[in-house]
Amino acid sequence: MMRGDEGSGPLLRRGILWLAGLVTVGIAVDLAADRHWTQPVQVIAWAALVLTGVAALLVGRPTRTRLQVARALVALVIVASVLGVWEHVESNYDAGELDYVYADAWGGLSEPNRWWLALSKTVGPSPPFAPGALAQAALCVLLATVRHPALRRETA
Amino acid sequence: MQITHGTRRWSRRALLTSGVGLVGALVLSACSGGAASPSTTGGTATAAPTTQAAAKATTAPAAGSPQVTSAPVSASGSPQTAASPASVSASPASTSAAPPAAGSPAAAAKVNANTASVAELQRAFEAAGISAAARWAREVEEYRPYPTDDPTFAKLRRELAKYNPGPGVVDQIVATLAL
Repeated sequence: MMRGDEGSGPLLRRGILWLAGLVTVGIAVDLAADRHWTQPVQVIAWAALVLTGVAALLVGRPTRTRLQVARALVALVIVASVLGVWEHVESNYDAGELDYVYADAWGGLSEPNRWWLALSKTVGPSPPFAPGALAQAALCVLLATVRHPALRRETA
Repeated sequence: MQITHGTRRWSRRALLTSGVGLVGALVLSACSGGAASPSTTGGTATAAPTTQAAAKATTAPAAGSPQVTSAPVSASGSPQTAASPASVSASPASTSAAPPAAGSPAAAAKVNANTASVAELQRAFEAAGISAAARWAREVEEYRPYPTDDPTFAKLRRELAKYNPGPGVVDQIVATLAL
């Protein structure tokens, strides 16, 4: 029973790392198509992509130190992802007065209502949860480090 | 041996199942992120403004400025595309803006889209009676540079259309810009 599980471990790890790589490439293509570089803050997404790639490479050639560095990078990417969601929602919120449907009424709407319209992308052009894909890629890398033999080997 | 073999089989099945699950989640997240934006923008941008523009076209007198009439229809699917050029300068703006009469000094004042500061852009937009002038000025600045061989401002029109502006607003903005 245990032998079977251990046998599938490396395969799962490799698979999930490939999945992280696929997601990363997909996000890069999407960002490029969207010209996601017109504002300085948008470069954060590209930096997060690079960090995810580096973390995946580190997990692909594992040592205890590399795995720990990879985890730290993953944590940074997750923070960047949360920041991205916030930036997108805030940018939609700011764009509320430009939307002709809400332009006149925007000032009179309640704050929760405005934020809901921004969060649901009723106003503004930014997809609020798209940056979550970065966190997804990062979590894949993180998952590949869980109970990694390299951690145990050097601890023992 | 049989047990191990069976476990491996089970493991492969589990691997396959989890793999399919992850790919499914990936596809779902991709759909919720990327695909939502064009459809939402396109949907609101094309459907609603068209009716307003159509209504305006019938009520507004045709006194379109030269810039407006020469404006291209390149921003496909945008509200300003649906608006008739004549309605742009003559109709009461849907975004509560009061556009200047065609040929007025305010309408003629132009600023360089690539080099003007945000404050200059804002002043020009305010002079043209565009509401939320400060916000639009920032947007115009954000998507620089604009190709100098495109006097129709196709790039700017495409970018601004994402914000679902009122009919004629983008035409008004473009009318205040030069390259």
